[in-house]
Amino acid sequence: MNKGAEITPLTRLKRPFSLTTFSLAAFLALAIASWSFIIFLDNGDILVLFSTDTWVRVTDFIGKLAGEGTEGRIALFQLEEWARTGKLAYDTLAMSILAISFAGVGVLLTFLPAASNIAFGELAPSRSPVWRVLFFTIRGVYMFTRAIPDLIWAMLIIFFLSPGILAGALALGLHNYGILGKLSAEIVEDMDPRPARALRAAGAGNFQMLAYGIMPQVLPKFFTYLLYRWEVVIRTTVVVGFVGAGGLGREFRLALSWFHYDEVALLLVWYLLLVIAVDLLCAYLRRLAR
Amino acid sequence: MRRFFESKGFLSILLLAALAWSVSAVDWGRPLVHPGGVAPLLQFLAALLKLEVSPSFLKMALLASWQTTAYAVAGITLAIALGFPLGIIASGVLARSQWIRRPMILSTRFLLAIFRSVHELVWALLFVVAIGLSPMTAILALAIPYGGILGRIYAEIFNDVPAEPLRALRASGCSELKVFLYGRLPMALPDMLSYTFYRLECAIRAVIIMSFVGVGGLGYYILLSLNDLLYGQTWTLLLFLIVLILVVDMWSVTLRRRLVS
Amino acid sequence: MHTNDNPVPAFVLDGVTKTYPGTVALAPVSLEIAMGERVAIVGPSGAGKTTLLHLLGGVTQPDQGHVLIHGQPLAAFRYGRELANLVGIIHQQFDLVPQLSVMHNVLAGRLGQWSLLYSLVSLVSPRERSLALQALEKVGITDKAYERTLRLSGGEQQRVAVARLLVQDPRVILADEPVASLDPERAEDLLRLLSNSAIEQGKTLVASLHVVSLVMRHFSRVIGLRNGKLQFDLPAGEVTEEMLEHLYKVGSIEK
Repeated sequence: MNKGAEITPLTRLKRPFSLTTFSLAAFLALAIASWSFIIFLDNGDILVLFSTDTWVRVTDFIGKLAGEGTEGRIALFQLEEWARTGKLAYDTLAMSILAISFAGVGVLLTFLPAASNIAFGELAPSRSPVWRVLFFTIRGVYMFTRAIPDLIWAMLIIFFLSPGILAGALALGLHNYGILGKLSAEIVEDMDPRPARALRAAGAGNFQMLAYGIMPQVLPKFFTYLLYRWEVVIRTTVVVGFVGAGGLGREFRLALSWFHYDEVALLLVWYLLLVIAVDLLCAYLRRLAR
Repeated sequence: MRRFFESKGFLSILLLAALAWSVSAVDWGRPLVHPGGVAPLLQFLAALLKLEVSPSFLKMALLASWQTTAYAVAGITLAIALGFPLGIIASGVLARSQWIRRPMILSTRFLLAIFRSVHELVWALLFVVAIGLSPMTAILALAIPYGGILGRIYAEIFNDVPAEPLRALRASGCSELKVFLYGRLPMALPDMLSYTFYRLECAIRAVIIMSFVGVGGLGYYILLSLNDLLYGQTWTLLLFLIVLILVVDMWSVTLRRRLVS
Repeated sequence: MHTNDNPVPAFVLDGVTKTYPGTVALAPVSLEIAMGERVAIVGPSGAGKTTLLHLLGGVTQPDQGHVLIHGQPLAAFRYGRELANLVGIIHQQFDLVPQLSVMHNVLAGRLGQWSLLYSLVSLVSPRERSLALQALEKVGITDKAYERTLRLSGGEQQRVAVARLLVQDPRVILADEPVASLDPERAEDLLRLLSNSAIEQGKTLVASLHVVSLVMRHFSRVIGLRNGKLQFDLPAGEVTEEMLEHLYKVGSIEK
């Protein structure tokens, strides 16, 4: 029987390799290496935040946003400006809905074979190798479209599609297709297999098992993820506009380059309004889906 | 009538209507495909066979990848420094007096929401104006929105911790602070770590995008190569990008699976 | 007011009720428990045993009536550690912090007495280890002292909870189904440990239990609860099988 006196510190060191501890240590090492690199090798000046020069520029900038130095009335007070930029906000909103629709429809068409329990697990329709190929292909496409950031997609697409809402929607749609696809496949893999199993045991065909045993469980979660991505997309549509995709983002870039800071302020206001509106709408829709 | 507005049928109608409207908003009149766009696209695709693999270029690509990683890690560390304390405050777990608690939670959550609402690239543009072009532009532009996101998620995690062990600690005579250190924090750590690593992966992608503002890193060189029409270089850089993200992604997924079990 | 031969009782409940939305957990209950008594609370699930224990331990407040803990109402205890010195509670499960080591969970019994700085230091390098190891030895799991608590089985975790209680060393032990996750041998060992602590150190023990044989062996007084009402309150020797059958059968919820 082990007595207390025999517990030495050595018995504590016999722990097996822990990924968690290693990751923490690795992250700490990376953090130190990164900051050292930035401060010493890369001209990173962390004191820049505290220099008076910076604060002068910041307050100056905020002042310009508030309308100092603009000739005539500032954009925030001009109704025509509100109307003009309002149309851009409308475009931006449409772009976001189009983008998330592309992603959503695309995923709905492809996510089932991308789940391992459907491709070759217990819920597989057949043992044919086609499913294996399909699984890896679809997962590969998800990975590829996901890894490339939305903005880079936009830059590439602007090549052959004229700048506009469609280009932006396509870029965002592609990137989110990969993200949503992976999440949706994981929903299917993590779901409770018992209803589907029971249906199959009761003699249901593949399609029935899908419709009654899998979809009811999976669709609500899919919808939640869709809404969550929409919240992200609405914030990114502005960014994609920078590259020329239209909407608020393009105008934002133009206004900055012409130093029309009062217009920048107005555009920021529309941006925040859109983000808040979409967040609230998503909260309401989430409740609907319950 | 009210039941209709809360039914799934209404939801489906809403979704279809939204889709139809968004499609109609596109200006289908203008030529969709850029007239001169097909040729460069084909050239771009063809360049996949002509990857730029000279040693000097590969060295540069590697350095750019490291730069991107460093900015992302530095940004995340700042985001943690920002999000952790704000998350504690926003969760209200240390507040004793009821009078202070509600306004404190509401105001902190509002602050975090403001940080979160603005996309990191927009922050980057604003920071360029404020402090010019420097690594700190990217790092700060990343730290603020990510700090807001981390703060909010941390607050939720702190609040979702199981109550019974906390009750037992209190019954042992602990103050709320000790309850937090010995109970809440250890129980919250796995989820916190998991989410923070996920954010690290997102951060790398975000830094790449910030190159558009002129900050160095992989994205910057991708942009340059596109402008110079050196598509062979673009592809090499894209491959570095994909590998970098995949490595972090796999590490993150494995770690998170280990943490949840 | 109290003379030496009329010492302060451990608990006094006077007309105490507790209601939760939809149910009356405890109908008016009045009873007194003297220091040093070993009391068992029996009854079917939902009878109000946990509620009663929580009221005794000051975890919840009654909706009507009052509770005196060692002669004082709950509000009179200004510091958590004052109450913790007096009363210690263990529950059936889920009381420990899974991510901490067994050692840390056991030492948590001392946290009320330690300063914040000392507590922080102990988080990194456990203080007063020998105290914890002694307690672990009493419950028979010293070999798991440095394991992460979540790796232990249910029965082992329950013993860790008891070890923590021993370290906390309160004058009154309240136990809610303390042996439910243990096999009969271990259950007997644990109850003997608790009951001996009570006898040897003059501690008061109040425990809710299901297993009747354990009740008869280790407790001097038995309180029967059903649907929140006091059914009987008798010395252990006077409780008959009939009474227990009646308690558990009539009106019990079929699972």
